[in-house]
Amino acid sequence: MSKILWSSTLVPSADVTAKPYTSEYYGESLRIPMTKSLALEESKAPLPDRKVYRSMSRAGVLLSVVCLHGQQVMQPFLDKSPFCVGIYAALENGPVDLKSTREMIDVVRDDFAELYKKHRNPKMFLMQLPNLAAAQMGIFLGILGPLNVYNSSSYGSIHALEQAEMDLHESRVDAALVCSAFSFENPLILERIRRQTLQDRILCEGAAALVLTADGKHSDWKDFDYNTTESYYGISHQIITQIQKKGE
Amino acid sequence: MLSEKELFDKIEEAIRVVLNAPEGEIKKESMFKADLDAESIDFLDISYEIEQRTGVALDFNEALHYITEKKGADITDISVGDVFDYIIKVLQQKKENK
Repeated sequence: MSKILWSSTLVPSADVTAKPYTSEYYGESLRIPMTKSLALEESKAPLPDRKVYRSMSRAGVLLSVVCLHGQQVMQPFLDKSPFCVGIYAALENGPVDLKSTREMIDVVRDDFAELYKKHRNPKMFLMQLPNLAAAQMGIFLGILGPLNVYNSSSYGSIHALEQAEMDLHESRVDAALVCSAFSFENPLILERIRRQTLQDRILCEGAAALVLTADGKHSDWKDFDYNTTESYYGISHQIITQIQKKGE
Repeated sequence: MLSEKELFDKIEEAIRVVLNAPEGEIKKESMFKADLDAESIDFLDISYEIEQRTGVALDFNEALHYITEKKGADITDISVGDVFDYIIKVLQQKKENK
């Protein structure tokens, strides 16, 4: 039903050495032996709004960066109508503000409100909203079509691909921007990945975007063994793996 | 007790971090909206960062009240220097109340 018109990935390069990961807040109780992160500082990310990084999770920043690479490909569709491109993003909830949480642990009830006001960054909660990150990316690109965000840690990428496929088939959109980003922001998600999914693979940060258009052929995104890869990219795994597979 | 220069440096740093401005861009005469492209939610963020660095809880409503008393109620923008002056005033009041 669809063909990949354009794709891009943002993954650690092959020469990056895998390192163990431990959480600043959970210490050795959360340890992942092999991880690779992207060498990208949020405040220096090439985004159209320099201050937006204050209200976007790292994954949100990565999402915008990778999608902006496809601006020229999407522009002819957007020139026709900004409503004819849909966004299908797989992105987990952003980080909990563990720094301020640590400051507020064990305080007496009467002091809590004062400490909350003092320590909780007012923009922090914006980072937790995956919809906001995807919407912000859509604003950067001028996309006004349907916005779909999936935060299922294991299947978000598959959900995004399948919904895009369906909307293209039904002619609800002319082009589908399927995208995802994963970073090491939420220790609890990392722990779940370590226990259930990772096996001996390297856990990598990553982001990917592809533009799909209808072409009458059916793509079965599930018809692939995603478990035998060398690296694992969290919620972005299936999209990144599909793009890497096509590039082989 | 911070000197005025040290205090300004901390305020400048807080604003610079929030607005992701390059060093040297933020001056006392810089206007938040016109020069620095700040939005309403940035004021909350800036007040948080200033409090983290100086210990002064900056209430922008009170600050705005103080500034409009000085400059007139029809102002549509405030400068970094206005915020700096307000924080100086808050610190002086704190000192007097001790």
